Amino acid sequence: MIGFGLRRAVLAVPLLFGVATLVFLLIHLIPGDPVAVMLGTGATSADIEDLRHRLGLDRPLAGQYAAFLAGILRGDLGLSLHYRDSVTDLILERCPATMLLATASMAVAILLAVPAGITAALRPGGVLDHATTTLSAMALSFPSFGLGPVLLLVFAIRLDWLPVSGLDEPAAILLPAFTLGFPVAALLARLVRASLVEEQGLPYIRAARARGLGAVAAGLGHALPNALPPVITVAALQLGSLLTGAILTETIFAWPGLGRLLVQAISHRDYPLVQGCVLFICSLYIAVNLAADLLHRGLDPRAAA
Amino acid sequence: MNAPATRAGALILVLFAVLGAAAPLLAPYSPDQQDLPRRLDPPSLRHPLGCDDLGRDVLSRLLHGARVSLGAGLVVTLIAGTAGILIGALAGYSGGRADTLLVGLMDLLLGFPGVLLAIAIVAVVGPRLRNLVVALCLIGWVGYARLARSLAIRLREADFVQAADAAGASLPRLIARHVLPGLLGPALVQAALGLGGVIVAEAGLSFLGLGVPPPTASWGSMLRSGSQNLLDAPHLTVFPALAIFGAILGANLLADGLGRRLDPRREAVGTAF
Repeated sequence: MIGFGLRRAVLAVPLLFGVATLVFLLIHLIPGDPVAVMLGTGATSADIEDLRHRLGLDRPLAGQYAAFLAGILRGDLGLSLHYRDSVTDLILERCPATMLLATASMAVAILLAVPAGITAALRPGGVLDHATTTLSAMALSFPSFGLGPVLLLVFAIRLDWLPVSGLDEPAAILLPAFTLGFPVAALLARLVRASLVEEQGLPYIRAARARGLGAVAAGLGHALPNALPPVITVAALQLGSLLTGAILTETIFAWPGLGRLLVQAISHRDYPLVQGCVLFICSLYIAVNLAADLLHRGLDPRAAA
Repeated sequence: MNAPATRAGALILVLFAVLGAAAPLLAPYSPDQQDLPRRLDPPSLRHPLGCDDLGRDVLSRLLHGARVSLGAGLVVTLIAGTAGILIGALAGYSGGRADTLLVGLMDLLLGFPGVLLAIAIVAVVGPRLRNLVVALCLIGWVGYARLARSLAIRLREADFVQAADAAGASLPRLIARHVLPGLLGPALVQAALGLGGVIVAEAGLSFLGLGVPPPTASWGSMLRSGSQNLLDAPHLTVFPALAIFGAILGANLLADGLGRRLDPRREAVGTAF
């Protein structure tokens, strides 16, 4: 297991290197002079040359690339043009809020998905099964930027039950966590149902039922523990998608996380910060997927074969 | 999902496409026509879905927005799908260096959260529909290529392909006549699912202000302006949200139904953004 983990971690290195290269090239995709674009229309040629020098853009491309990679290895992602602060510090300051939101969203998703999936699977083809399948199809079709404002409208504005935005009150996390976690809940509920239905058709469950065990007891006591590992693996993989989904959810709810920082950086044309945010979110995404891979291997011994 | 649901999915998409195509004929007003005294007006007989923050008719903007959202979806699906399937089929069938290179590139692009890449590209090259379409094509082809590659590797070993190869068929003929037809079904499922994904991505980027620039109507940019007027004009949020929901539901139902027809054991499909 440790050997497998190390091998997978080594395989992630070229991926991280590729991501860093793409992020480095981003700034060179800016049409025209990137420095002039960053500074806007009021900048003098002295300002432009000064910033070009500070960003190292007056050096040859290979030198810029080497300095960029060396900076990453030192944990130095440069200076934010708008905040006039270290990009690394800004990212580390906002990271806990995003992690909190992603974790809360996953908790919401699991709390909704597992009971819904079990209820649907215990009587396949029944009313509750159809209801769960229909609801999950609808939930998968409602993107966060459609669901979020509607939830805000109903629960924060009309009913005034929950705070509109921010991180000041603990209850403020409920709406963004539900918005982000709802489509994941739909996906996981379908998986719980499918996995449990498949498991219930296996001989050991039929044998347990033949010995007189009830459908619910056999389903929950015997089939469920074996049906959950694939669901846990997919849930872990979905954690990565929650990190990118958070970009929109954080914008809707003014949640002070990495996604909102990225969107603010884009609107301020703060490209060093854009590069830093993209690089950091991608690295987190790769790390989460790596952890999901290891979890899958740990939970399902057949994956080792 | 069953056959009626598949038909419902197809019907929803066709309906949206027809409404979008006929928008200039159906829309009661020009999408950019401002009537400032009526700004943020709720739905009425004169403006069935109300007016936005500049007094523009929401129904007309939704109809014209369908052209952008579905148009971008169809163009990206067509370009990314065609490119991905051809690249994947060629690399998978031929093997060798081209295949190794493709696998490396696919691993890199699939290891990268696609939406974030699209956001990053549009953020630097500028928010325009063309840039958005290019960015979505750049990330979209990979899924099709992966599918086509794995199926082409399987088809390469099939007796009928081996026989055609032994009979001296050229590589283009082998791919076009024997490999591509075998990819069509799974590719259609992927395309239906991809269409929903592109509609979500376009609307999501427009919601962030990275899609179609104003005043052009798109569902995502309408939702953006709606979320800025949530308190005074909830109809500006509800109607674009319902339009996006309807189009994605249509694409998901179609993909789900097509997938089940190809593989009855298939369970979970869908697109989360």
